[in-house]
Amino acid sequence: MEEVRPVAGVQADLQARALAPLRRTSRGYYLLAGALLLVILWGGYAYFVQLRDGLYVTGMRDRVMWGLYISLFVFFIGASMGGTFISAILRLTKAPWRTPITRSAEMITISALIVAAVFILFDMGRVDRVFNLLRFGRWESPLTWDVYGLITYLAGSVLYFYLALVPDLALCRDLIGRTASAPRRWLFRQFAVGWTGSSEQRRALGVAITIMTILIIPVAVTMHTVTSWIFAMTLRESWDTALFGIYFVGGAIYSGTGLVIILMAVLRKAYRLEEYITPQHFLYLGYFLAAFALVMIFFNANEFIVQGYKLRGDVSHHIENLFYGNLAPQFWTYLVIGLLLPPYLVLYPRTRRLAGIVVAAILVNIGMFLERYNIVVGGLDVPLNPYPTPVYSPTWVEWSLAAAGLAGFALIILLLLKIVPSVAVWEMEEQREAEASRRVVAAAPGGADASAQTGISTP
Amino acid sequence: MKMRSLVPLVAALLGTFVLYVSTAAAQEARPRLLLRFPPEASVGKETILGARLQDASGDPIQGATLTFHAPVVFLNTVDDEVTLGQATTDKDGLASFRYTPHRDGGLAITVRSAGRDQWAPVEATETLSVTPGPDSYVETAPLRVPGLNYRLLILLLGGTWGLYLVAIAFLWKVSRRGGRSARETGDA
Repeated sequence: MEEVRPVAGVQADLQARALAPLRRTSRGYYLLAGALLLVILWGGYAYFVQLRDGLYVTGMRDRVMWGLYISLFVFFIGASMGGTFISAILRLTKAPWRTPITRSAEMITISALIVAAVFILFDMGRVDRVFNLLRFGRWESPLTWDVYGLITYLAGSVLYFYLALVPDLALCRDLIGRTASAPRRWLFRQFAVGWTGSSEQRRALGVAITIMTILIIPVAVTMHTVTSWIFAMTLRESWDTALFGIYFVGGAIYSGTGLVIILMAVLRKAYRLEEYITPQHFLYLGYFLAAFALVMIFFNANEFIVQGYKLRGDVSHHIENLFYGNLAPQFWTYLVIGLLLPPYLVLYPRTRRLAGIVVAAILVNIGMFLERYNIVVGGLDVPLNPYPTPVYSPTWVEWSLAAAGLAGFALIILLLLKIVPSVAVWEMEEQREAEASRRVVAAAPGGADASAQTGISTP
Repeated sequence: MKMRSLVPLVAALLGTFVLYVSTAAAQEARPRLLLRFPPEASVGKETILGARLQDASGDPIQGATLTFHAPVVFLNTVDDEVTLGQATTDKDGLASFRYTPHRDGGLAITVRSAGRDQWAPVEATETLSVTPGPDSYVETAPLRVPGLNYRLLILLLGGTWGLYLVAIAFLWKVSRRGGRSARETGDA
């Protein structure tokens, strides 16, 4: 018969492991944070050069005026959507394997949204005029929709993240509040909002979480669709397609799932959560990844077959550019490692293991970044006038700021891990208690007999 | 002084006086500028604006340059006027100016003559009624759906933020229950 550990014992172990990073900081953490800070500082210097000398220090010019920054902006918006989508869908469907995943997914969303907004600031030559977007933005412009959408989505994601965090913040308040530093003690006390776990509080919090779980899905989908409209509402041949909305949403879920897998693998290893983040979780997310890989393959095939059949206008130039022009290396890399290899790794039994799925997730994100780059730069590569084809190549400034953005993304998650548990402890405890109760009920007709056999006290 | 020696002086004075009076009379003899515009014009279609310059006695003035002006309207305020062109009066005092309107509505066109020694400057204004033509820019969206404008955006954003506030309200309820429990525990 399956050995079942006592709930109380499991609970204590889970709490200990989940709260361990909040109690003490390892040398590895400091080293990693230090390295990320160094990269960010170097990015700060690059930004200073850009502010001082203007956007001329980048590879962007009059014909290719969007490059690495906007590609990364689109990539991170996609990543954020993937995180939210997974968390919300799993919560809504009450998938039993959701509990160790939701926290990681929500952290990715918050961090990715902040970094995405920062890349917009990098792309602006006059960052002091950023509020003009709010003051003078035209209602008819997709850029205005995107600005308001981003603000709304960020606010919703933070609220969604925080609501599910309240019981865990109360746990931190009770278990480590006395030994934590004064700022963290204050944070735990204030943001736990007096949580005691009473039935009234659970009911109220449950309603709030349900509202946000349902609401955040259309907000996330809308946000990424609106981001795609920045391109699709133009008259550029390669962007002017009705497919962009669903294409961006599908790509977002695809790359977001990959990032969740990567983060979960790191947390599992770093915080010894092997018992709670099991290979089964990776397998299910891997299947999710494979499914969306097939969806993306379908979208790409549809796009190229339909466009290639007609080769109308400048589309032929764009397709030539992608298949055997100056964007060919990125395009074929994206196709092979971003679309074809990941589902193979996930579905082929010999590679369908934790390591294989994590490798697939990494390849997905590399491929999806290249795909975003092809969309942004490839679309601008098609000349609207009889000029020579522009050639865009990011400069050291752009690469430095890109690295700084990526480092910032990792650092935000690192900082969050010092404030909140890496897994949703209260949800996992609730789930284990519910499972234990079900096991007791199913095990024997008598309650006493069941208790004796399993060692679990019935409520 | 003898009368005979005063005659040249008196003649000079009289002559000066007559010269002055005749010049002043000429200055005061304002011509008349009569405008002859068509009853209606159409955007994008050339029309002929006519003007007739007559002196005070009604005789035509030949060879006078008439300039045609129109107001410049921007953001619903009249800032300045622009010169449309000029035409020269013929022996009948008539001048014709070919003009193609680019905007519909009432257009107040002012015609001016700078004047010369013989006649004073004069101007006249008349409104040309211009109807929309095939070249007019018609400011309508290709797709007209009632409410599909910025109001929809405001509605969506407002609705979303409203639901956020509802969720926050439930969170506040959690906080209130926690405060009440703390007080009850403290009382116990």
